[in-house]
Amino acid sequence: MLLCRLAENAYWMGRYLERAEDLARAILAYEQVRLDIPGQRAPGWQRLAALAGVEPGEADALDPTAFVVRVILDRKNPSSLLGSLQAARENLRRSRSLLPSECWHTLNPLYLRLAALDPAAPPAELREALEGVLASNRELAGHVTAGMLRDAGYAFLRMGTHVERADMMLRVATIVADTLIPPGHGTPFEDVRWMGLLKSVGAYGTYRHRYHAATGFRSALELLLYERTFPRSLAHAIQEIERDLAGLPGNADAAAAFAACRPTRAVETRSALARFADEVLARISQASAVLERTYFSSAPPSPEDGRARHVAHKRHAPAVETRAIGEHQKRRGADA
Amino acid sequence: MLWKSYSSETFDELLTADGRPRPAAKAIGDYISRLGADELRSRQRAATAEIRAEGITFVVSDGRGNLDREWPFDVIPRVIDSQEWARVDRGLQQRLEALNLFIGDLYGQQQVVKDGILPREVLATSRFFLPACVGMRPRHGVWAHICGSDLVRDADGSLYVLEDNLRVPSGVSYMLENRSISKRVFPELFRDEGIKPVDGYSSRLYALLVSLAPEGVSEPNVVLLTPGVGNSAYFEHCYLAQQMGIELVEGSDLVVRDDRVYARTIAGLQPVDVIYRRVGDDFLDPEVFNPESLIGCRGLVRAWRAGNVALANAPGAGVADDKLVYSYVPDLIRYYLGEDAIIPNVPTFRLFDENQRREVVADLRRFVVKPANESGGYGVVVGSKASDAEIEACRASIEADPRNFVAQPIVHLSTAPTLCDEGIAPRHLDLRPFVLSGAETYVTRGGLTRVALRRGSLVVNSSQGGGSKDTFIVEQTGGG
Repeated sequence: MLLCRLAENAYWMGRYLERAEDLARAILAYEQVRLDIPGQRAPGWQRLAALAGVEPGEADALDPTAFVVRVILDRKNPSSLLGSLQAARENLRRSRSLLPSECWHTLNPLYLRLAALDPAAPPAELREALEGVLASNRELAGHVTAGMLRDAGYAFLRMGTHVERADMMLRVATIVADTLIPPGHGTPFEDVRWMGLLKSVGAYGTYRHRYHAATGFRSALELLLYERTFPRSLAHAIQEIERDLAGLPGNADAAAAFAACRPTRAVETRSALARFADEVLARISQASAVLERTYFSSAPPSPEDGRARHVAHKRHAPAVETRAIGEHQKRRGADA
Repeated sequence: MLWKSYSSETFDELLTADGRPRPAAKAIGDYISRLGADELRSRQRAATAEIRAEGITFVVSDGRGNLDREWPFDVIPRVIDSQEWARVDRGLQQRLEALNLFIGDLYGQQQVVKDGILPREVLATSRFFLPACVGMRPRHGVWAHICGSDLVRDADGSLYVLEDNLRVPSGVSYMLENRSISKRVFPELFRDEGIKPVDGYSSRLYALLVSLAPEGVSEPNVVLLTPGVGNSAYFEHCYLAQQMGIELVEGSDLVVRDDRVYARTIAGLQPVDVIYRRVGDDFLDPEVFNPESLIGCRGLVRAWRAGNVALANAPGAGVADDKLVYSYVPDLIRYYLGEDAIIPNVPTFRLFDENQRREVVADLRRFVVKPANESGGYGVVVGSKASDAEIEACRASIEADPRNFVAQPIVHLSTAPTLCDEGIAPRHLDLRPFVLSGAETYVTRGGLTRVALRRGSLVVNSSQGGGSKDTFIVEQTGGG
């Protein structure tokens, strides 16, 4: 038996972990690009900040990196990297019994390390911390792969991971396409920017391996959107969600909703990419709403609910609802 | 020598008045002394790091919000001789046997009131007597399945029961975690010093819960009901659920239909047969108790009364941990079992009795005054430490509602050496053993030792700056 709430916890833990990883990777890639492009020409950091849920002010333009790092480490902002890790940790705390015990031993120290990090730390230290997020996430994935029952809890965890991966991949890709890839040819640093795009979604090595030295819009999109054997592609994510759904009871509506997210149409131009991404993002969001309604909706949302926070981050407004009475009862409602 | 400059003003658990380890503590005291202060500090750091990484926490509220604090643990263990413990074990079994008979009596014939042992007015004014429970006869005749009784040792070295927690006692997970940390930081000690193991609690608890299943249910679905992540003992709820391999549920995960309890799962509603509930009576069921409750489950008591679900502890068990009722426990033991209490109570003044009240109010500084129906150390006034204003406020509260307070002479709680900023210093402590009652009774080996970390303080509650120690029950092996 899998409680609806545990399914929900596992799902949101998957989402938040993936989000933390994707943010870490995007920032690392962005910093790489920035180092290769001198002076004020490094574009796109505002978009990066938006990805973490905050619109920057005028003053932040002077030191974009400091701003981004501050946003990353803002624990009050549930869509920041730290906020995501915190939410993942909370969801894990409420569903520890579902996952191998090593997961807590990996996630908890990771969160504590990052929470203790000084936003003014030198770049090398920040980079190390972000790389730590990627490494710990791989470790967590290892614990899950090696030690978790292939049951419904596993399916929800994976669906969370893949929904977020698809969502973030589309967001990062459109941001990068929009800002880092200029129209036309012969723009300086074009290669650097391409590498930035690919690295920011963890596709650089695979891309090089498959397409060698060539960089091109179409081949990159081929890989990122349609290549089902590539584990970070949109097509792969949707395919895995559909597989995990297939084993669950009462899955007809959710399965139909995710089937509608399969990337089918070819995307030829930059503006077509933006339209395509918007459309697929909307479908994914709709499909995940169906999923939530099907499996989670029987429990009313509580203040600690990962769901309340996540909705907040998608709206880019960290308004976490509190219910004073409920809170008080949870503290004092029991125990001597 | 590490113990050279150490001296306690009261009974010390580890050392005699002349600074030598007590017989049962000899090997352990010598071992720690050999380690030296620096090494001890480094082991303390290792223990703290372990607690951090494991996420062993408890939640405290600072008025603005909840803080998830790391569990405070002192590496120097507290040692109790196994022979003394055997007596405590028997004493607690005796106590719980009497208490369960008493609770059953109150919700049945009330013979104890008819025979004049417990005054009718005490029962009539009991906050935790629940009329909804009258006539219920839970399996094994047991109401308080899980009990945590607090033991203290006075300056003369005798142990007393300070209070019984019969509703939702917490702390057993910390007892178990303390041991697992001790084993990591002092592996050498556990090889041959005769320290009794503490494990096995979780499997005994699970067996007890299974034994409570309603008639005809052979493979009961057992769950642990928690108020949620904001509760001070949430860590413990997770820990126990995980150890027993049962689901940790919140009120909103449960639903009652036709007097049956179900859990909401992704495959629909699944029946629940036994609930280890860590939600207090007040909040358990808005239908019967606090109608504002958001953390309970509507209809739970109906289902329990219908015999379709077992609740541990049973609702209403708290009637016996009213601190005024506590003062009658030695009488109750005599009444129900025909025996003298093996572990005495701390002398307790009943303030509704005018003579006793007059004696206490005249000299409040000599007493500890406690609200009869609180827990967690809330509302306790220690006369010797209170300000004049606090004493006056206390006097006023007693006069306004004498039934709701008891007073006890201040117990000079025993100490044990504790690693503090200023070095190794004596700190006061108590002990909470846990008792499981079902078809048979089981007492943990030792319990949770709680330490008042502030110098001179007598308040050991973790919510108020208390820490903890591992508790070693040690078998003396002749030559030592």
